[in-house]
Amino acid sequence: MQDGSRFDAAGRQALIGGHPIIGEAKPGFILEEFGAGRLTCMDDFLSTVQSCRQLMTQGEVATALAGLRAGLRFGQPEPFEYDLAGQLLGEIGAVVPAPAAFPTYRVGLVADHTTTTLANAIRCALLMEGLLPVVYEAPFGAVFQEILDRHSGLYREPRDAVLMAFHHRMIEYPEQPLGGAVPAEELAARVVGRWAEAWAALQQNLGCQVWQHTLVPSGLAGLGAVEQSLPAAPDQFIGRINQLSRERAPAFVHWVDTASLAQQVGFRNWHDPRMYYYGKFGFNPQYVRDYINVFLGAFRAATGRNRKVLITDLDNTLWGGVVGDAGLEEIKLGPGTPEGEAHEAFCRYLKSLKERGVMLAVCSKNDAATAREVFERHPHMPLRLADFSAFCCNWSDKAGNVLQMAKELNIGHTHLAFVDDNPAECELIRRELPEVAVVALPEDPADFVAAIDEAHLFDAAHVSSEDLLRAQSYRAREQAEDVKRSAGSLEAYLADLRMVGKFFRASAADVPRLAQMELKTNQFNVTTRRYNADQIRAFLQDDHMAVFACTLADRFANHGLVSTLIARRAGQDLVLDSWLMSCRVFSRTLEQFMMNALIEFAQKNGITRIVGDYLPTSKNAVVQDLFSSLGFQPLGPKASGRWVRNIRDDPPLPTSVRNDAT
Amino acid sequence: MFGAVTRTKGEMPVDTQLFLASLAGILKVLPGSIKGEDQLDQCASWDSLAVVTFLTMANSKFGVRVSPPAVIRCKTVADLMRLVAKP
Repeated sequence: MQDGSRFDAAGRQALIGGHPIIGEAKPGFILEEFGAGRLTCMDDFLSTVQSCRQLMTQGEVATALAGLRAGLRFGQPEPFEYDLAGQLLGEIGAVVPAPAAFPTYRVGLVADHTTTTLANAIRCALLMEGLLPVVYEAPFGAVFQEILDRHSGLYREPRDAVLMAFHHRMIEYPEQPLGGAVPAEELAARVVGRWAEAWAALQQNLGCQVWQHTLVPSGLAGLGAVEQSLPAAPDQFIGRINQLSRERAPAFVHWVDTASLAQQVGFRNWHDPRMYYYGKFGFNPQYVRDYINVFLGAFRAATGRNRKVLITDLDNTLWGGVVGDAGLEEIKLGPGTPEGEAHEAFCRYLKSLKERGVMLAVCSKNDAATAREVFERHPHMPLRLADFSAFCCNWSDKAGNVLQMAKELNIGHTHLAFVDDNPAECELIRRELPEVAVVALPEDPADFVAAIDEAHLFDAAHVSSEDLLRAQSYRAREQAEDVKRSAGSLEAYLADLRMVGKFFRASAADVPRLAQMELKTNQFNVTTRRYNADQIRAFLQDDHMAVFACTLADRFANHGLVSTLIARRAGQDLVLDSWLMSCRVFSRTLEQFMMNALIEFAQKNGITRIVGDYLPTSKNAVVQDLFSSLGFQPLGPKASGRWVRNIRDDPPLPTSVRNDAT
Repeated sequence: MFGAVTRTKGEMPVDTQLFLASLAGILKVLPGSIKGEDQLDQCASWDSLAVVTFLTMANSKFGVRVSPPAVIRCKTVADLMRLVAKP
C-alpha cells in the first residue's frame, strides 16, 4: 500500500487552484471563488478528500481547506466521508497556523462517551462556516475532572466554545418503576446541579460559550404507554432533566437539540447499540449529516450567523403549475389535489417562519402583476403581499436579482437563504453567490417543509419582539428606499421619513434584545466587543457604567430597539466601550441624534470629555469615519483609533430624528 | 484479484471498484493501490476509528449492516470485501 504522502498524480487533471489532484473534473462544477483563481471541485467527495490531503502535504493548506469546504457544502458526502474529512481537518488543525481566509475556532469537547466521530462532525461543520476547527477531545469519560480541574488539558489553551455531551446510559436513574428513597425530581435536580457547576467553572476559567447536547431518551417503554405517567420511568426522567436544565441554564449555554433530532429520525435509528458496545459511540454515524445540520443551527444561532431572509421562487414552489400559463384558477393550491394541499401547507410554513421574525422575499421569473394576483385573490393562498419584505418578479437572471435584493435590504449574503424547485437556478446561485444558503426543493411538494426545516437555517438563540418587527421594518426600508428615489435630496428624504427616536438608560427588561444585538451586529459596531446577557446585567448594576438603548420609529414602521451604547466613567471622561446599531437604520442621522443625547447626559453628570475607540475589523468599515463625523478629534496618532470630543456648548449635531418625549 | 461481484444485497449490487475506492479513502491510501491479499494489520491507519468508519461505509454505500466483531476478525482486504458482499 502507498500512504498519502507518496501520492503520484501524474497524468491526472489539474483542478484545484491549478494543482494536480486525483480524479477527473466535471466541467461546470465551479463552486467557490478562492484567491486569485476560481476553485473547482469534483462531484465525488471521496476524491475531493484525497486531493485535499495531497494538497496539504504540498503545503497548500488554504487551497485544501477551500476545496474541502466546497465539497462539504455543495457535494453530497456519504456519512462515512464526514469522518474522513474530519480526520484530515484534525491533522491540519494540529500542525498549521490558520490561513488568513480561515480563522481558527477552538472547541473543547467533553463527554461521557467516545467523541471521535463527534469531533470529526464538528470539524466538518465549522469548516462549512469558513473556520479552521481545532478540537480538543477530553479524555474518555473525564467530564467533571476536566472541567473542575484548572490544570486539565481543557484549560491549556483558550477555547471559543466547549461542548458538553452526555449519554442516557450514563445517567443515574431513580429506582424503577416508581422511584425510591430519592424522588425523581430530586435526582433530576442533582444532575442539573452538577451541570450548573460545570457551566459556572467553564465560564469562570474560559469565559467562552458552552454548548450542550440535550439528553436523548432511550425510546424504550417497558410497560408501554403507562410509562408516560411515571415520573421515575427512564424516558420521563430524561425529559424532566432536559426541561430543568433549560430552565436553569445561563445565557452563555446553548443547546444542541439532539433529543429532538433523535425523535425525528427515530430513537431506534439514532441509538446504535453495536456502536455503543463496540466503542461507546454516542449515536449512529449514519445520521451525522442530520447532526451537522442541528449543530450548525445551534452554532449559527449562538454566534449570530443564522439566516434572516428566505428568498423563494413562486411557480411549482408556492403553488403547483405556472400561473402565467395556467391562470389563477388552474394552479394547484389548497384542497382538491394532494399537490395543492402540500403547496398550501408549505405556504403556511413560510408564514409561520415570517411570524417568527424570518423575512420572506420573492425572486421569480414571472410577470409581476400576474404573480401578485395570486396573493391578492386566490382563496387558499395564506400568504399576503405584506408578508414579503421584497418582491422581485422579472425575467432577469436570479443571481443578479438576489444581489440587488441583498443590497436594497442592506443585508449580507451570509444571512440569505434561497429556495427554488429548479436545480439550474439553485446551481446558478451556488456558483455566483456561494455564501447564500441554497435549498433545492425535492420533487414532491409534500417534502418541501421538511427540506427547509431540517436544514436548520433559521434556528434562533431566543426570540425578541424586535425579531417580529424586523420583517415589517425591512419592508418599510424598501418603501423608504422608494421615497429616497423620488425625493429630491437626502435631507428631504430623511425629513419625509418622519423619524422619532428615544434614547434612554437601559433596564433589565431590555437585556435580551441588547444581548442579541451584541451577538449579531458586525457592521455598525465600533469596537466589536461583545457582551452576553449576564455581563450586561452586571453593567446595569455597576455605578461606573452606563448602558444606553435607542429606539426608532418612522412613518412606515416601528423599528424597535435598534442601537445600544455602553459607556464607562473614568474620572471626568466618558469612555465609549461599545456602540452598535442595526444595519436597518444606517445613514439616517440616528447616530447624530444619539450623540446629542449623550452629550446632554454628559453635561448633566459633570463629564468633560467623551472618548471613543474605533477598532477596525473586516466588517465594520462603515463606522471608520463615525467619530470624525460626530465632531471628535483623534487622540494621539490617528492609527490608534482613539477619538475624543470635549463637552462644550456647541450647537447640537444636525439630525432628522425627532426626540420622542414620552 | 477481485472479479466483478454479482452477489447483491437488496437492490444494491456490490461494486468492486467502488468498494476498493471507498476502503482506500478509509485507509488514506492511493485508490488502486490496495489488493485483496493486503494484510490489514500491516496498515497503520487500520485502527478502531477506521473500523467504525468501515461499518458506516458498509451501511450507507452497500446497505449492509455489519457487526464490529466480524470486522475485527477480518485479516485481509478480501475478508472485508466478503463481509460486504455477504447476503
